[in-house]
Amino acid sequence: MKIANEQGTSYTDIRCGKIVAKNIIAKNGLIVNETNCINSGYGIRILSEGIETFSSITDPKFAEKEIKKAISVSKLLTNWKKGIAELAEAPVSEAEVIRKPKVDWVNLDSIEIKEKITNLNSYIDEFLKVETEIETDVQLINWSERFVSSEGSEVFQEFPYVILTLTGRVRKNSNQVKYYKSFGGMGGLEILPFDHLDNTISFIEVINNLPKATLIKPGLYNSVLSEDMAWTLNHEVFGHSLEADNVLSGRSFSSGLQGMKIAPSIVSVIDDPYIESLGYYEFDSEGVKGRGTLLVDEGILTDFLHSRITAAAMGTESSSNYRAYSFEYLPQVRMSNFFFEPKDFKEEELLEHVKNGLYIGDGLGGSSEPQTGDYNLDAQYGREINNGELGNYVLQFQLSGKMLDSLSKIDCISNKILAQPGSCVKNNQRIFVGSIGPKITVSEMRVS
Amino acid sequence: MYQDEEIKDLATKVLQKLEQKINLTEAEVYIQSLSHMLGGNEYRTPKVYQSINREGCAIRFYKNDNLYFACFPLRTVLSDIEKITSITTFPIVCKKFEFPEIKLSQTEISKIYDKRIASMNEEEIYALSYSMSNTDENMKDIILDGTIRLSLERKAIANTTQSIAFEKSTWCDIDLRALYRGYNMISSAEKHLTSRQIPSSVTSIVEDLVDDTVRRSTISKNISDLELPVIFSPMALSQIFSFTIVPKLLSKSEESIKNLDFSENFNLVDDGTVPGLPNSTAFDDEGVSQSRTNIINNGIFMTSLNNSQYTFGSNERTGNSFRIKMFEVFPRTYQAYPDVFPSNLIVGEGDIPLDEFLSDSKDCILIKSTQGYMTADFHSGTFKISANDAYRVEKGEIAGALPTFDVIGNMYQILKDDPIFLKERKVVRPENTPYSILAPFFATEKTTIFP
Repeated sequence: MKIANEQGTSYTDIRCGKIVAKNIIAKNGLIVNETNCINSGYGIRILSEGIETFSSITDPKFAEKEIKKAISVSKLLTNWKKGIAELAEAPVSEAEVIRKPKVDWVNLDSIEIKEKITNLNSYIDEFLKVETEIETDVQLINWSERFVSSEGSEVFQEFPYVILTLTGRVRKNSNQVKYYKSFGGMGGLEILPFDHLDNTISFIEVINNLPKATLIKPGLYNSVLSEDMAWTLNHEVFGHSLEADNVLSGRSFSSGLQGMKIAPSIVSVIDDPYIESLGYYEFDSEGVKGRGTLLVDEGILTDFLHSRITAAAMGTESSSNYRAYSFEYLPQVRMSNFFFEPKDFKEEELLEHVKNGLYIGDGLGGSSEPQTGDYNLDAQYGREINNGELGNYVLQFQLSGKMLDSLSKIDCISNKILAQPGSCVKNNQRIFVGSIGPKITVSEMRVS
Repeated sequence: MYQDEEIKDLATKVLQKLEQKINLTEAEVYIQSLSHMLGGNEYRTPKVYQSINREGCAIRFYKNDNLYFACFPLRTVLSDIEKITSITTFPIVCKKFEFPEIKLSQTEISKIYDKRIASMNEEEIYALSYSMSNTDENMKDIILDGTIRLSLERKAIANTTQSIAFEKSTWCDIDLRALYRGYNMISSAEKHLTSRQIPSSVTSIVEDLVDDTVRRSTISKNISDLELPVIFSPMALSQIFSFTIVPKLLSKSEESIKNLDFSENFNLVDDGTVPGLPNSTAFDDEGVSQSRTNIINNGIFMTSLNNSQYTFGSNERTGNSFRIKMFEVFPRTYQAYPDVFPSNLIVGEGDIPLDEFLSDSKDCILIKSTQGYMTADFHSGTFKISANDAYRVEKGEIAGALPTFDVIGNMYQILKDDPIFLKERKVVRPENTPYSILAPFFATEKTTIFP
């Protein structure tokens, strides 16, 4: 910071981070692979001549060279196009946020971890009715970062993350069909299903039904979207369009819609970093104190997600959504826990409402056209809805549509919210988020 | 960034410490030093300039004949390794193999190293961004968004065969996207260029992109037929290949590819030694020389790609061990466990030029790009992808862009039933893959589509 100040920068912030990670993979209960990684370094963001620059280094002895390079670039660029980047006002923060796990993986010996994985596999095996290869992928991460800025902010945050992903692979004729589900979030081993084995029952049930699942008949279906699929649609297609950096760079179909009614009154959408999941944080990557943001209020688009730079450009304040997973990357405007606000409907009422149609199971990702809101998303499985009841299973299929059209077709939102681990990739940067939401109904969903 | 000599020196010191102080007599040290400079322009303003520097060390070692893996920051590796045996808990289950002998006399691959990139001079990024902006300002109604990334990778590999491999490579990646906003419609097109050197000009790639964008703004009538002749562009073919046939080419899956029948028109080679191709390097990530591997010759399976861990029934190592993490700006990373990946796949071309084929063919569809790779299954070869950049061809001419539609097929069946490989080939790097594919345009008699 001293070097940057001496060079006369308008603003500098430095994130000094350390990530300690262990990844264990087991097949049918036997541990077959383990990788261990410690990563640490510094991310330096500078504002000079109205130009924003970013450097990451692993050793502080290289800082001076990188800072000088950044200032030289700012001078070159501002001669070409006058730099206009500025930061919206934000209070100076001083805080230390440390979340400790109840059961820290670092303190467990190999025998205890092995026992947990073996027990989980035995439990799953007991209920499986079809020959299945079960892969258990356990990611154990201790993440910490110290943020300092030339404005005087100093924030230290430390979070533990654990994620367990179960993948089941079964044969169906000559094809292999698979289904995966993730558990965990912010915390220690206590939040994984090792000590709550019955949490895996819904996973086992899907696997047991995959061999007899049928192909979908393409068409328009009145549908109930599972929590995961509703989140995937909401996050991937709608959420990214509300990120102000996308709005400012023309990559958003929501641009120009602020203040307009874009969905039925039942739809409200929130981003909230304080839900205890993988999307949890108290300060974002530029030291701004987290806050919840109501983005859609009873169908009216009220706000976008902001960093200090996008907030300055759009004449508002930061929503504390400027985030990067590690010191290595320049933060971007990202969601935290982004979800449809739950409403009053019970799950049975959603099925009753649809009557005959399709239940759309967990999402598998997909893609969307940011300027138009056209999307193609994959679902891992589905179930017929016959007379308001769940029926036969359907194999992996694709949903497509236009987001504003799909939003207008949401009729019911359930009263229960589910938080699962989620991840999001934007411009080749992966970050943890909470996959959070209730079930929703969407009429006339295009499926193929 | 550490100097070349410091990197080599560290590799040796880490190995010596592992052997002499920690008593690990079978070990491999891999050091990666990676620098990127990133710039470009976005909506006629300069993109945020970024300089990313990653330097780390990955270690594999045997203890009681069990294999373990851990990685550390380069700055602290010499002290961190003192606790390496307590950090590693579970071994990697595999048949014991020897770390490969590193030969000191490797053949240099020319043209993979550009001194302008290696110097990581910020003025190069500025000059490229500025030239792109100049081109942009001369175009009406089209806005260009471009990212330019210059990368320098240095890697040192040392193992208990007591020799060291060191290599420097450079890359220039240019991603361009053009956006056209006409009345009540928006069209966009993207192009990606990877080369080992800074191109002399970005003008020609911009012109191509603008042509594509304007072409996409002319909408054709929807498709009503369900089965049509289809021409896949090199990009579209590569995207389907990546998630069907590529996983079968690796030594882990050798048995299954042996059972497949292919047309004698189908030839496939992996070659990490061609200087002009993006993933040619002298060594793979275990220090084995890259090579040319005949995978399928006139429809007959010859050999699969391997690394030290997955060399079954074959003594020849093909030099295909890479450390790859998907969804990264630069997927090669020391933090990933080494696995088998292609380097540059080369699909054999045919004799008929695309223009000739188009003028001789009846109405058909030309698919330039696809999305939805997750719905491909390499066990059966089936795929269902969305063609998001496709055109109707009428009487040998491109008649207009088609709205996104689904394409369903089985790649193994297509490769069996007399596929037509055309003459023109292009080098592409399919999305989220670490390798490149040099592929021709490729035609089928009939493909199922869902409009």
